[in-house]
Amino acid sequence: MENIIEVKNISYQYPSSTSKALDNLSFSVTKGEWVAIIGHNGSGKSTLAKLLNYLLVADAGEILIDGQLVNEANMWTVRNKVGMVFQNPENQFVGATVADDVAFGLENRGIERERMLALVPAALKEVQMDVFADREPTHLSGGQKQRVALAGIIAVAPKIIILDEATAMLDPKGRKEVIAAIRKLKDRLGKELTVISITHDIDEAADADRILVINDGQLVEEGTPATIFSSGQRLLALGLDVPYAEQLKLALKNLDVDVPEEYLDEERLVQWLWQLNLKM
Amino acid sequence: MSNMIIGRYVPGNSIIHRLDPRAKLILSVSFIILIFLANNWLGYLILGLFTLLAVASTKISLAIYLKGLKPVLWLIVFTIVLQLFFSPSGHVYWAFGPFTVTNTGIINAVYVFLRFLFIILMSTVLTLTTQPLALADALEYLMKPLLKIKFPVYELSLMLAIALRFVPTLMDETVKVMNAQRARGVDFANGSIVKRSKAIVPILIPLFVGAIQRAIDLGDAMEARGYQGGENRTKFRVLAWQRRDSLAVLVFMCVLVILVGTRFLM
Amino acid sequence: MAIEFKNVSYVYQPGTPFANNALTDLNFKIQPNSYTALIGHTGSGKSTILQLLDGLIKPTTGQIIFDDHVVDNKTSQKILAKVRQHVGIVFQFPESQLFEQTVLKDVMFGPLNFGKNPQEAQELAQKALRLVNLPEEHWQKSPFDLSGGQMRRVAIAGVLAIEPQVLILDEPTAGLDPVGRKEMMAMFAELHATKNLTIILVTHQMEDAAEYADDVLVMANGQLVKHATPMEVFADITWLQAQQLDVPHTVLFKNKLSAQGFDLSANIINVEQLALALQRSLKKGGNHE
Repeated sequence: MENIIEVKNISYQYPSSTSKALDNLSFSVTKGEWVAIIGHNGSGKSTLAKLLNYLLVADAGEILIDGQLVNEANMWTVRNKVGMVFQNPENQFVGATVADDVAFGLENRGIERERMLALVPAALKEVQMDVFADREPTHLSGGQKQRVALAGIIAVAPKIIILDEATAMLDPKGRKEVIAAIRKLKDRLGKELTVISITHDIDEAADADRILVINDGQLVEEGTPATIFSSGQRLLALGLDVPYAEQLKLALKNLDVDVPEEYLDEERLVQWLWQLNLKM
Repeated sequence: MSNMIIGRYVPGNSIIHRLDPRAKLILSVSFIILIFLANNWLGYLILGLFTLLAVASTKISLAIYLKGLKPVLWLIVFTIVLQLFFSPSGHVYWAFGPFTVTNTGIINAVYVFLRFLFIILMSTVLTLTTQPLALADALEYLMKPLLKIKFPVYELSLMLAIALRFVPTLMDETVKVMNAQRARGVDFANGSIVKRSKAIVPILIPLFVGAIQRAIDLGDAMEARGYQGGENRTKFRVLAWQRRDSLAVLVFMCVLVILVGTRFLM
Repeated sequence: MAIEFKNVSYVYQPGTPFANNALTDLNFKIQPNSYTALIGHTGSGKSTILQLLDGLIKPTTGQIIFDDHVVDNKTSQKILAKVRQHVGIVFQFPESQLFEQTVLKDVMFGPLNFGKNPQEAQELAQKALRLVNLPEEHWQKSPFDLSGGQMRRVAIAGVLAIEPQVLILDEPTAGLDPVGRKEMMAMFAELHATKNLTIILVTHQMEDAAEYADDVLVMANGQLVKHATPMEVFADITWLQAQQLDVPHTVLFKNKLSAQGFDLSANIINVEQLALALQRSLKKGGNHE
């Protein structure tokens, strides 16, 4: 498989800090993959996101995006390939209205107006915000603003979308809407779109093909959601959440019920409990 | 804050609302200059009729316009009084110490009052019917010649547009911070001037810190979305000059001609 | 302290064309030393209630009775200030209200405003900083040099330093990571237990409401649609879904178990309760054999 992102031994330290935000981190992502990056606040996740499109410059190591080295000379081509949705819905809304905001990336790329007039409504329709095209940001909820941000990215059709805690500041309803919009987009584009989702939301991470766990700027674990979730105690020790089925397993374990080591999703846990009930 | 009418946009679909913001901006500015051409009652009458016509065409209730006059009421009264009592020439009706009321004084006071009234009403027409952003677009267009002398027209207009877009955000934030500090016992309504101005600090610092964070985030978001400065950008929002805009200019020119005419006539 | 709402309504911009009924005829009582969860959608009137509870606004009609103070439309600012001294409020993202040069000074701000002398204020501030578990090494630092989670603790200490009898929390864990959320909720539970604080928690996290609260107020469109125990509110899936509110995970999972054939009590709304019930059920199953 072709690697669309290759991160090799990168390190980064903030000028004001005494410790490294990222410490000799390496990983790769194949084209069309959906990768979740999890870690507690301050673990270096967001720093990584900013390094990927040259908003920050690594102190050491190199990053390749779609075969291109991320550096000063390539930064604008790299940014064309990577779309980012940031955490704070208010602080990434540039346009005066929804449509203006979606058009912002297109304007920056010098797309002719005629094409914008087709691309903007199409992108808004994809995230179900088309009826809000003329609204001002003050009259939108957080979830709606994040969907507009997503539409702004859909309009410029990048190969990679990075969600940098895009749902962290939303209420449950807004979070569901945004996750649904991303899933729909990924389903439509399939292999053509690679998704990197940096998140605390365990249900969001469970959607991924693969999870990377970052702690103190280092990659501490990597695997499918099932493998990662099976080490529930360890995730809790790293300050992270585990899926509900795993929480219940741990609670049962505390009551001296013998539970299987492997990760069970909710359906399988119900089945396992039922079998146990019949056996007894 | 909610009483401020000047600078507020009232949505609508009147002919004035639909005029090109460039036409509205040019005409309003020209009108204000034109006011100083009037030097007799006929001139003021024509200007008054034109102003009333503009106000009426916006289909916005007169009450809103009158509210808009309130904040500048004292300025108007002060200037009128100045004109009324301190006109040195003309037939003296009444005198006391340095104060004299003369016929020219009265006439001047009336004229000054009318000028104020027309200027405020006309600029209110402009702001009530034009979204601030449309005005920013109009400004950008009208400043384009300055590009020749390397003036950063596009950057400036984007800055203006972003500033306008963040006004409601910062207003909300101000209310939030004020509530939080009131909950911690700050009293903004009572106390001496010194005490009250001290109470500003716990508001301003959080607002600045918040605004700086927003600016950093926004900068990141803009760069991530490919913003490299004003060069080579296309525009999604365009202004379209229509027949009604040309018509509006024509009407204005007629008023101008008539007004100049009255100067010779009277 | 008990707080009682009697026929309270609140209208934004009354007497103008923009008049907007935010709250309609609310009647409820918050008992002393209770832990009340206030839930409902964004825009259901929760934040208006919070401002009323802290005397930041006055009801348009009706009365709010705080032990010995009664607040209605005509209440003076002086009385409201007294209310604020007894009711502390931690707004959403409270770290955005920090402004002083040092952590300690920032926490002293409230007590000083409420008339304490610098010596007393400092003692109260130190006490509050200990309550929120902020290590002493940070007290002389600028609050802006701390991490997000630490800043939030400072802001909460700033409210606790007023020594309120009622503590209102507006989404206090928003934006924190899982471990931060857990620590924060545990801290409030401890304050509730050891300091006899009455707590009012506004939250979208039904799990938290089900876990910690002993009383629940549910708001919809400016009206109180339910006032009951967490058990009554959260066990009723049909009603929660009709209100478009999230159902706690445990309740959903318990339903799956029941559908499979498990015979579980209706009184299960958090994970510990479910684990316990399952353990018993499994043991009982063993007895049958």
